[in-house]
Amino acid sequence: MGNISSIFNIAKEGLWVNQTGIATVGSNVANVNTPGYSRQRAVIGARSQYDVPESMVLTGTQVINIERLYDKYLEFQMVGQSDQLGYADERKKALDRIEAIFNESRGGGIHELLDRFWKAWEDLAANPAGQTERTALVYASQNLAAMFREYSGELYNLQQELNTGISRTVSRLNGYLADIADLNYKVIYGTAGQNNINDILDKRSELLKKVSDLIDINYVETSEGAVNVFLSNGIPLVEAVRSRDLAVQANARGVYDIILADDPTKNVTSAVTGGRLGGMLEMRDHTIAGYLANLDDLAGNMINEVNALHARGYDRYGNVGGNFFEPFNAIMGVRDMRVDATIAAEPNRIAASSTVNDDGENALAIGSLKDALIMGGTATAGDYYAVFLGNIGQAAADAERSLSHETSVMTQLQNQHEQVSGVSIDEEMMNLVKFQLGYNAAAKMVSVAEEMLVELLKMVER
Amino acid sequence: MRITENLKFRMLNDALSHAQKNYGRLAEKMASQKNINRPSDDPGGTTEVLGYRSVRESIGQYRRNIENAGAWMEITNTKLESVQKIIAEAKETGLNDQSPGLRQVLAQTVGSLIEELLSLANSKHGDRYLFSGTETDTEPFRRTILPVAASANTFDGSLYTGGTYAAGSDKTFTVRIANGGALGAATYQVSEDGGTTWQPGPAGTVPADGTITLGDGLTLTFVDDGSNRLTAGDLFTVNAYRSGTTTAPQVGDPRAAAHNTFAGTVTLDAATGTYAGDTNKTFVVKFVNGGAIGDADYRISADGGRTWSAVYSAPWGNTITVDGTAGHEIVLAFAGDDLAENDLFYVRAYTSGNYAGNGDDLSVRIGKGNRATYNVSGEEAFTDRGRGEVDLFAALETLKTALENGDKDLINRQVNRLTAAQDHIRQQIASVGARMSGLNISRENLQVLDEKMSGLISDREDVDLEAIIVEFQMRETALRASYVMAVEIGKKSILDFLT
Repeated sequence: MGNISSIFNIAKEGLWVNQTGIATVGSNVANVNTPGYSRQRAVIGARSQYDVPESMVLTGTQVINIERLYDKYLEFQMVGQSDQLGYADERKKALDRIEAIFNESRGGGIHELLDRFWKAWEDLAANPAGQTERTALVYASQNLAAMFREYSGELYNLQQELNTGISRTVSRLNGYLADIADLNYKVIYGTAGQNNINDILDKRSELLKKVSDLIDINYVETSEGAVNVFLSNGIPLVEAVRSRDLAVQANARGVYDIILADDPTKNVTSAVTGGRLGGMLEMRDHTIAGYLANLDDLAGNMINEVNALHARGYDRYGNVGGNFFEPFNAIMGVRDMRVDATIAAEPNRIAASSTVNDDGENALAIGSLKDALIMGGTATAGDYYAVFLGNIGQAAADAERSLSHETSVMTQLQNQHEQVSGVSIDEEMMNLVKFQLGYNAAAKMVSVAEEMLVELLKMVER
Repeated sequence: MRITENLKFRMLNDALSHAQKNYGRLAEKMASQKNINRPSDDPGGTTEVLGYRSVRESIGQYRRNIENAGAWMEITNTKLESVQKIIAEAKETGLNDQSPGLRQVLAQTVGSLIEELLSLANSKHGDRYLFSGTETDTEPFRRTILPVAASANTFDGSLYTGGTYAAGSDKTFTVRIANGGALGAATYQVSEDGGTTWQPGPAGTVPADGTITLGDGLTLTFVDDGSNRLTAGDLFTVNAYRSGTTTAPQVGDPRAAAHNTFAGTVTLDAATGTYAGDTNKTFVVKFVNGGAIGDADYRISADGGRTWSAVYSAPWGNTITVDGTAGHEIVLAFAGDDLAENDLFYVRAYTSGNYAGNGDDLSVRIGKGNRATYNVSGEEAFTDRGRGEVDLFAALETLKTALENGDKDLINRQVNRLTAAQDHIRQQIASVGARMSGLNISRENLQVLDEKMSGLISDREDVDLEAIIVEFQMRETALRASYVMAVEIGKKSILDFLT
């Protein structure tokens, strides 16, 4: 037969277990909006009472542990998806800006100025001695050159901004990596209690996603509980409690390469193909560099063709034509496209004629370049630019589509994750009711045991 | 499926932002009335629209060119028709058998007809001369100081006047051959009042080069290129006008392009002869590299710099022959400075007569790879050089002199010349008319093409407003529903039911 004190004991355990359950509900409810929080559950088990005779088995209760509910594989997928999403987002942001630079749907862009430039030549051809026509041509040419300079300058600035962004992102990444190493230490050496460890694991998961948002990584969880993080080419970034910094270093093209901070000879730029860093590198080194090369190509061909024809003609004074545009500058490229200073200062120096007699034939020849396939023999300048612009539009549309695809995959994963790890107020409220009932019942047990003890003592007094 | 709070709100958020985005896009389209508001809205369409716009721009240019060329030709046509009337009137004067008194009056009529023709031939469109070829800022014609040989003369060589007439009033010089013979042997007398009084003193001898002095700066040159020599009694009349130009072929002063490096002088060398070409030409020398005079290589052009000879290599002394016709060379002499690459020198050579322009065509583009010539050069219309047939000014001047002198045979010959001129001008008018109707066809084609292009642009670019409005209303409903749902779902909670 069990004694009354063991009833007290069991009732106390009941109170304690239900109280823990309520506390768990409390932290879940409190963290309902905390990003990365995985809901917790008190795992409750029965406990045998060994201080009673074998004929009477009283069973107590205990909280075995506080369980963190999460799906390891889902998390792995989410970390992987983060780098796709970061990459797509970075591209989309940059392409949105490029598209805004080149938006010609309201007119007034390079294409329209090109048309005006050819028109000005043709007008001059009709009246080669006309000062109005000559001045108009100088303005049209200067506007065109200025627009080329402006567009390419903006592209160049964007390229430089991305370059700075890469440097900033690398230092942010280093911070995250150091944090992961730090959390690894806490997990391995157990400096935190049971409750805190769940919190640390949540934080580490979030950090992995943040790292992956910046750069494409692989990671493994070791038997000790640490996560080791590697670059896509296998170079370790975090090994147990040690993290390795990345750094940037200007290369021959004057933009940053990504290197290992402890080994500057090790260039890892090519290993970065995903995440925001990958997106920025791709935009800086391929997309924008490509667009600048296109503009260089266009302006370079125009300058050469116009200058070549111009040198065959004669100006108002009977001089052989000089340069119309300043010769294409291989270093600055289209960013330094300018009308020749002599022409700009004195429109009469425009070589509009094919003889010394002011016949306007040369202006007509230059105006006819509008329809000439000056771009590698396959396209006119206008067509080339139109296709160029179409390509930008296509890239922007692709980037948007890709971002929306990656986002919806991520949303899907997050929803799945949320289903496993998210907090449901309804559920927590039901748990609260449940644990409250349990607590009340255990309390009732205490008072019954107390009554029993009082009754017993009364009998002794008699 | 386990629905958590975050999931619920995330899904709501997604739905709301999706609805907002669609709503925003449609609102943008409605506001701009355009389907393509940025290249990514329709990349292919963007490229196409730019292409179409460029074509429209070209069409606009072609149409303007056609308008301008059309206006030019319209005026040319009017002027040429007036010229026809002048020729017809001039012919009238020569057709009847007239009394000497009437002939003087008629000669005056012809004189004023010549002035009228002069102003027609020097007409401008804007500030460009209609009839000076491509040299549209050069006044093409001046009154000619023309030597007229009497029809009864034996001498049948050619004649021209030279020098610059310096007297204060118009005069008629008459030259009479006193003793016949070859150049260098024949003798002559000059009258400054049309043959009433003759210069005093013995008759002068015609020099071997055939050039005699008339007075007031004028010379008369006999060229022995016919079959008969000067014969006693041969009579020549020269009407000198104050603003007139003599008819000798001329080589202008050589000019250096304004921005040459060369700062020395360039002059016609003494070896330069009389220009023998058929048409007015501009000779150009261009240096292909620099060097001292005589050491720089050069090219020559006889068409104003359009086409070039092969490179002539140094050394060349200090003179360059730009026209090598034997006996009629044009030679430039250089002095005073080193030459540089692209230094350019040019000299104009004029054939006999009074035309100062050239025979080149003015043209504009009226389509891709399609050009239209819109001018008639003065050379073609009014001279016998190049594509021209009759020297109209010479015919009228001769008619005038012939009327004054009562030279019936000469009058008849001029009437025939004028008839030929009439035919020629009629052809010019017909050609201008044909070209104008060609332009009209082009203009109509361009109009059709332009409409097609603007249709294509509109198809790509412009919104179908009705469809957009219907869609907009649909989206608006969806957005409203999302809002309502968001608010309602946010309200519902188990807490409402727990007491």
